[in-house]
Amino acid sequence: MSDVHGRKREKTTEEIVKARKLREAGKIKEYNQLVQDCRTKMKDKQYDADAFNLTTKILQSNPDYYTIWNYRRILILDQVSKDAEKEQKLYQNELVFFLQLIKINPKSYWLWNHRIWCLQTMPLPDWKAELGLVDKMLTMDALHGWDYRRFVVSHLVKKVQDETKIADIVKQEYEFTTRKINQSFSNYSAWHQRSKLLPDIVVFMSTEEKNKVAVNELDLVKAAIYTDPEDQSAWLYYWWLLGRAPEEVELLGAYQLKDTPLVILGFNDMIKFMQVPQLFDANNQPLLGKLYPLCEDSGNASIWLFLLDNNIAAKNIIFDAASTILPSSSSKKVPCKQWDMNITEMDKGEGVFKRVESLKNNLKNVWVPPSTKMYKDPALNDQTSWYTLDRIQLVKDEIETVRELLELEPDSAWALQTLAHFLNQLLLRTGQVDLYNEIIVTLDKLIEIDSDRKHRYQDQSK
Amino acid sequence: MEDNLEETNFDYIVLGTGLIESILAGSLARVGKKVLHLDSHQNYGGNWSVFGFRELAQWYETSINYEESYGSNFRKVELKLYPNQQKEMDLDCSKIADMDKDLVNIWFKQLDSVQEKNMFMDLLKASRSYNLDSTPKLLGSRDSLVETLISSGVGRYLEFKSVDDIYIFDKELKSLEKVPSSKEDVFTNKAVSLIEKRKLMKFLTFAMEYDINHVLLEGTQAMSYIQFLQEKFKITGKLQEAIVYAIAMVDDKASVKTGLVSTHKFVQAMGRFGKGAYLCPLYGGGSEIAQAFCRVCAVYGGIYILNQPLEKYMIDSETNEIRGIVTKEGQEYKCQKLITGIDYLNASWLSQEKEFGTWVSRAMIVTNTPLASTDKENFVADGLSYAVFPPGSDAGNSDEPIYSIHQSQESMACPKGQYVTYLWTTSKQDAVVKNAVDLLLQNNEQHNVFTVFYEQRVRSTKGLELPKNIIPCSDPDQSLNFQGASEEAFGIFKQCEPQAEFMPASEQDQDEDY
Repeated sequence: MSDVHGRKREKTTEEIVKARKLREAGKIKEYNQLVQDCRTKMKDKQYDADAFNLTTKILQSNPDYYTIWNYRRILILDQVSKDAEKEQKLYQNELVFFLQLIKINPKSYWLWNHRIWCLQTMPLPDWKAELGLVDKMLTMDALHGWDYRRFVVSHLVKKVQDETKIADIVKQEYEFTTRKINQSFSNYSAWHQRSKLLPDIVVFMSTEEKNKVAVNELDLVKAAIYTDPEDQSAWLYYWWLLGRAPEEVELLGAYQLKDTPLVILGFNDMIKFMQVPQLFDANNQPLLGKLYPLCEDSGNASIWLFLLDNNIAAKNIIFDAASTILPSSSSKKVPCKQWDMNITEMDKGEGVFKRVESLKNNLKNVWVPPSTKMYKDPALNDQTSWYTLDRIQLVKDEIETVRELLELEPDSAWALQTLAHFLNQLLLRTGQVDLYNEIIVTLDKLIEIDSDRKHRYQDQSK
Repeated sequence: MEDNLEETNFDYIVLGTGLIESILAGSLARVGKKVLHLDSHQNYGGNWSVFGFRELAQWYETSINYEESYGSNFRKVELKLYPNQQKEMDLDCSKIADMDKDLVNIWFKQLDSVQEKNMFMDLLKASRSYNLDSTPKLLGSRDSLVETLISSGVGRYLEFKSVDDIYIFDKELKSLEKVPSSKEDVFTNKAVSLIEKRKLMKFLTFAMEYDINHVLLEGTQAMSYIQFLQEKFKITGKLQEAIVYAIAMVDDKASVKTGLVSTHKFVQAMGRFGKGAYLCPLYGGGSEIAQAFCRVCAVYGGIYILNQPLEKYMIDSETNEIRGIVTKEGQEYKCQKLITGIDYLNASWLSQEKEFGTWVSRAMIVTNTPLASTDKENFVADGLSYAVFPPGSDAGNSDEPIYSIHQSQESMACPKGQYVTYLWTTSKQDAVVKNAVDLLLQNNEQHNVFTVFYEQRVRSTKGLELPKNIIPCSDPDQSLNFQGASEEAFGIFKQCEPQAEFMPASEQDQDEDY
């Protein structure tokens, strides 16, 4: 093909480039003409077949031109109003048109938008068939695919009134996630979807069956972390499965500004008081005063101010935790114990008291006993409440599982982090303080191997 | 062929259309050599032949007669039919085609029941829907033959399907168990414990990145592969067997290097075309690939003569070189060099021992259920797979492994709804292949459609004393893949034409890409 000096080939390249440019220029001109014609027709309300064909041609070149999609929809609705019988067919043609274009532009938002409009507008949408389409789409565009899948499933569920049919759909979705995970388990979306589905899947099951499902989930996720300990999605699902023991509210400290009637109470989380705590002076005489939460509204605060009626030095504060305070969220619980804390005297700095005084003027609400005891049972919102396996035994077993993995992969950051987390969970549920040692050792190892995140681990250590 | 060719002088004459011979015919013609390619049979393939049912029936017949003959490469052929016993029909001989009348007469003398006779006639009618390979093999996805097929464009004449699954015979469970070879497999395989999953993944990753300077390899020169697996990866038992016999396909004496090189090749080949590391040629293996090369040969001017029996060689007694060949009709063809399958060599040049070569026990089992279906959950009924019975399995093969390839309509080996299982071994123990088949069928013969047991001879070309310009080609051997054959072909090519390029890409292709 090339002559001795290879010149022939070069010339051909140049020629080809030139020819291509000419063709492109021609195409652009053509396209602009189409758009012009279409605009004109729509302006003149010439809603005919020509106008429709113009939109087709334009969209084939440029499926993101949303104005043209709008025109097309106007034309379709106009057609429907003139000829109701053809309605279903018209929309079905649109769905076919979509399939032609989606192959070239799988991620075009406006294409999907149009499809959704069709499905929502047409007389008989086939949501089941949509699921089949989503399957294919997921392989092309995972992120939007899952969203669309949820959209389709929600429609399927709406259509179906019957509870058992809904259960079928949910089960199908669950099996779908299983397939996707089996294909490639480093698939965050699949695991995530699964976590959303699980509570719905088990809702009609017996306790025994639910626990079986839980065990099955654990087996699945353990297979994943052992096959690839670097895979984040699996570890995150593992953590989700085991859940979190609610942490306890703690009274961190009680302070009185010297020579002032102001006592400051600090908690590790926002709480609400149900009744006034008792404060005593050095002679064990009760002291009276007013309680103020340091917060915006809603009555939850992590810092509370107790303004004594008289300027006396308070010695200690005593109250029964369970009957006196309420946690603000379901991830915290109140310990069953009597708190008896000494009040520490703080040197009153001029500035500090003035600030607190000024704050007092801003405090809208003196605490009053709440009318209803809105106690949020931590168990209710517990993401793991769908199964009833013994939590303590479970976390013990899984600690073993992670320890075994660490024997094979001592430097696995995820395994170490998980071990620390699970040990902490065990600690929270059992109060076994000797667990702290192993937690610290684990975190130290983490600091060693993952120096980027060492501050996080150091904080956890504390 | 009665017509006389104008051309009677060639650079090369190639005798036999086996795989190695055909690769050579194609590659030599490709670089401009004048090639005459000749086969005394009417079909392509030689000892690599693929049979439809009719050919199978005929082969059986002729082989029976040759059983005691020294010239035969196949012996102890047993073909058995398993008709559906419920069909009690009359014998309907109107179905028989004229060409088959003789064959049917011979066979009817041996078949007992009406059902068998009817079945025989039905199978004859459906003959073309079977493509049974007498020496089945798979193509490794990174074998040098693959590169040749791609770069030369010969691959376009062929079709392949991915072989996604591997099985190994488990002594405890007495059945085939899946060998997890990919991350996906390891994850989903419930028979592999968590710890084994980790060990296996760690090892596969190591094998994938095989680097001779890796710290784990220090001081391992004296170790065997098995020892290496045990000491460095704590891989023992079933997992070890699977790696050694089904993945690396070496034996228990293999060195670390040999084992790792093979394992590395396997892991690298995985996922290249399909999920697994192997491809299965459609319509039969060696024969199809051979024909593709014959086509290349013809395209580049090679001459083909089939069904041509030969009389003798023309030898120059002074130089001890071949000048050419003479056909039974007296036609002479001259050449510079001659490449041939062993069957065309003069008996006087071959070893005088009665047992020249080694025998491979083989079987073709056609069933109506897949035999590699032990994993009921993940099993895909029409999938292609291969399996290994390691030495020491219940089939009695204490010395050598048994290999099997599982095919179906997917590879066009048989009609839809049927499955073909090929088995073979070089084990010298008795009835090994039969035992293996029994284990697979689990004593349930009901699944059989028909079965063929036979032995195939493998002769090597080493140590033959031939005239200077004759280059012999080995028989198909007992390996699972085509690597040995393609390497031999390449070696012979380089020997014949040291300056030439082996199967260069065609100019036409270059233009098309542009």
